Amino acid sequence: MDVEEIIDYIKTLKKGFDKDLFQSKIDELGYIVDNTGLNYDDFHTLFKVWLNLSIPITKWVNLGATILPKEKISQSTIEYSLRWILANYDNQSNFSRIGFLLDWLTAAMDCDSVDMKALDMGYELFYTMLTFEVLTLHAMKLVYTLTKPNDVTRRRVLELMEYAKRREAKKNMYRQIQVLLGLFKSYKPEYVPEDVPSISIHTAFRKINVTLLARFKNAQNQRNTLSKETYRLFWINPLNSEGGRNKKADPLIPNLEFTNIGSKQYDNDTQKNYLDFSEPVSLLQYSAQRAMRRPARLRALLCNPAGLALLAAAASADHAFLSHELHHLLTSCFLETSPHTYIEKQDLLQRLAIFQSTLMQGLPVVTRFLAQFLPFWNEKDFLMEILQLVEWVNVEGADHVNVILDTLTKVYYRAQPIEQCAILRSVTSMYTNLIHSSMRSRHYFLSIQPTELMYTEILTMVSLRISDMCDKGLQASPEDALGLQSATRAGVRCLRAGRRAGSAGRAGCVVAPRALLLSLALLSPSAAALDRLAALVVLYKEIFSAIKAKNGRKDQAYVEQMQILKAFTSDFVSCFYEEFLSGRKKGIAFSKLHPQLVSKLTHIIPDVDTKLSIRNHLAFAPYTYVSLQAIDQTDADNKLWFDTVIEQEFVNLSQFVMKAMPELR
Amino acid sequence: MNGHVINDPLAVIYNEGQWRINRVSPMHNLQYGEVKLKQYASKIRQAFVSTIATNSTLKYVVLIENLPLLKYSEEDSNGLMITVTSSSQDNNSAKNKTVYAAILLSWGVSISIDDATHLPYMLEWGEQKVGLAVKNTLQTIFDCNIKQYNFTQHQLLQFGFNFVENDTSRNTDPFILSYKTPQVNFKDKLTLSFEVGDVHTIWNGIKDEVNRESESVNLAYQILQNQIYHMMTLDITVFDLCEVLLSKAEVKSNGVVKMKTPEIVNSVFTVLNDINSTLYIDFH
Repeated sequence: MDVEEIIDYIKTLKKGFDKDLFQSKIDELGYIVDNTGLNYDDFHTLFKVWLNLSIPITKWVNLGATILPKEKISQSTIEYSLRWILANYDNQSNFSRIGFLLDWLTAAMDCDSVDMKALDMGYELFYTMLTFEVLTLHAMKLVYTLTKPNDVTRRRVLELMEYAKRREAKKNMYRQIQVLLGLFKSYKPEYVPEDVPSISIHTAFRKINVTLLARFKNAQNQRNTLSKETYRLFWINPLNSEGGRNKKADPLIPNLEFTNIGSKQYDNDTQKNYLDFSEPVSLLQYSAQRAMRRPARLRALLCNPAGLALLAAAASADHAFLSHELHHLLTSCFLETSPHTYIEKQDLLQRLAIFQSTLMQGLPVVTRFLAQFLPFWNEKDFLMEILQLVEWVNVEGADHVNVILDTLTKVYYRAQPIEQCAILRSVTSMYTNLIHSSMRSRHYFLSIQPTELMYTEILTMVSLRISDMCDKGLQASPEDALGLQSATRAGVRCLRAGRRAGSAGRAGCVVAPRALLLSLALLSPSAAALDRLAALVVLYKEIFSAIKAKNGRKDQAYVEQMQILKAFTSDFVSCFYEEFLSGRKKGIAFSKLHPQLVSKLTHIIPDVDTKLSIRNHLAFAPYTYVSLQAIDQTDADNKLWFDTVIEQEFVNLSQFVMKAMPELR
Repeated sequence: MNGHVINDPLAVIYNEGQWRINRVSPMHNLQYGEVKLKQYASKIRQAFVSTIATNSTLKYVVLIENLPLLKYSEEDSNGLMITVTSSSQDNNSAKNKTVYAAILLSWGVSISIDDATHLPYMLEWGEQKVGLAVKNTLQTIFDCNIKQYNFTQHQLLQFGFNFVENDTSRNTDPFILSYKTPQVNFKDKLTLSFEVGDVHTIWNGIKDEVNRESESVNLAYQILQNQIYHMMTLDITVFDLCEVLLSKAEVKSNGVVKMKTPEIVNSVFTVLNDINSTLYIDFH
């Protein structure tokens, strides 16, 4: 189906053409227009050809109903149509074509498919068409839509009344003129002092060819779905617009407004305000260069991301003001009775959490609020929001953080496994975020830069709590798989952050290695946990070597932790070397096994050391079973197993093996 | 009324009966110029003329005055007084009636931020609806929060014992404690009456024994509780304390206070400053 081929065909249409062939070509064209769409040059050519065809009117109309472009109709086509009308309107026999062309333009206008400014050029011509009774109907909607108050003149009004009088007998035509007069009267009532009956405008307009209209609509839809979304600034908090809004209380996050005190009539101050901008980037650029009007309520800026950026960049006096205002608000809302609904309070907390994560810093006022609120918390309300808020805490508020962690650990011990995971994840985020912020130079809402000492103090406290939490949680339910996974994951996250801090020259204040966690991970039937365990051991080794290089072997705590790590590593390695029982005295996990138990094990399980080794670990059963089935089991040894399984799947484990047991490679 | 003192700046407070007390956060860009105060007043008037029932015979006038002497120390910002009067023009007589009055003031302790004024206390009496409109307008114009106080039992007792210390009434005047029954829909209050002199004796007696004021409040109340038990075999801890009433001073748990002498006014604000002291931490 080639458009050019169709165009050529149409160009060469002569009298007595084959009707069926013509119809099939029209159908083809219709198909192209409906699916891929005509590109503009083809359309324009086709348009010109069509206008100048002299075929029977019905066929001409059918053809016309299939010609329309993908994009909006531009000035060139409109100019051509206007010229064509001018050239042809003196001959009455052309009126039906002109009428259809006007319909065609109306259809394009209705479907937002035409350049309105260009169409406006034809206003005078369309108005002139009203002179002809036959064409009035076709031109009416165009004139009605394009009329502007400036177009209303007394002369035109008198003309229209002339036409109306002449056409009084023909109700339809009479009605249309009245409708236009009504519009004129609404624009410039002084020019139309006569009484004009009010008539529904839709009865005055002609119904347009249905196929044509449908095609234009289709093209419009195509354009709309392909157009790019531009992000518009939206300063309204959706909660405030809801039908069931709480009328008793001031909104917690109000819509952005600007108040005027006194008259602005003689105000020469042309400061812009935020509502003058519809696009966030230009707003932020402008505000960086010039002062803008302060909104009536600062906290309304919490309602969209551009507002958050503006808040972050605001002056420190604004920050102080906002802190005190928020403090007042949070106290009266959450620590006393207030008429606000649960949803409103939840929304406020959520937006504060988003603000904190935008700043990548804890707000002092929020940390303080949490320290006051959490001890009285019912552990259910706003759970998700609290966990989000807790991820960013104020470095200077070590006392507050202590209280917060106290409450959270108590909640942790009593919580269900899923909630435990969520809490542990949040507290780990608190730790890693503190480490990140210790490496940043710019801080908001704080008058002095936090010192090393502050960071050390708070990081030590948090890391201790994390390892306590995991340890006690595992003591309470050692078989809980979720708990183990989340504890190992938390451990890895903390250590990675700690290592990053260490390499940046700051004290990482690392989470201490706990024998229970390490041993449980070793014994668990999960390969992922074993992999993470290997990662933990490797990370600990790195961090401790760095600490030793920096401080020497002075710290008592360091010495103890190093001992635990060494002992455990020996256990881990023994499991590889198949010396699990024989080597247990060197390690820590199995060193306290009762000798009777040991002897029983040796008795019941022949060759117990080999059987209870990493290679035969339940966790790796899916891997070892599958890979080695082609080879005789007895030939399989550690090296083969390492090459086929470990190196492919488990990055951390292979790293550990390479570092600790290079000969296995 | 007897005892009207005109020249004392505190007179606007103790000449009135009961005040509702509110806590106010810092106010942004509050200006004390004549013109500005008039503009704020007209803004308030606009706000409540549209919200309050449009009673066509009543005309409201809002007046805001600067009270430069109503403060504790030089560093405090000037106090403000907002008065709303309604005048009904029915035929010949035009009666002016004050339907609402509010005072904003600071008493030695406030937060200082650039471009912002902090008048932490707002006293008000009068029609609730008018008050609500006034407070909403102030909150919108100055980006602040205004919330009425709710006093806990401990705070009520703090007020009470402070009143006793500063009271100028006779020894035999009553010191009344009023209780509500919690969680029960029983409207009647239980009132217990002591003599101010006795309470004063108790209070003086323990002041030497304890270090912090909060401890002395607890101890004094403990003594009173024992006294009550001794008199009536009633364990008063079951009930919620809701009012403490003296002849020249009253305080209620919903934030309503009556202060009839300048000493009492001072003591009320001193206690309020103390209550808020935990709130005013530098957020910088």
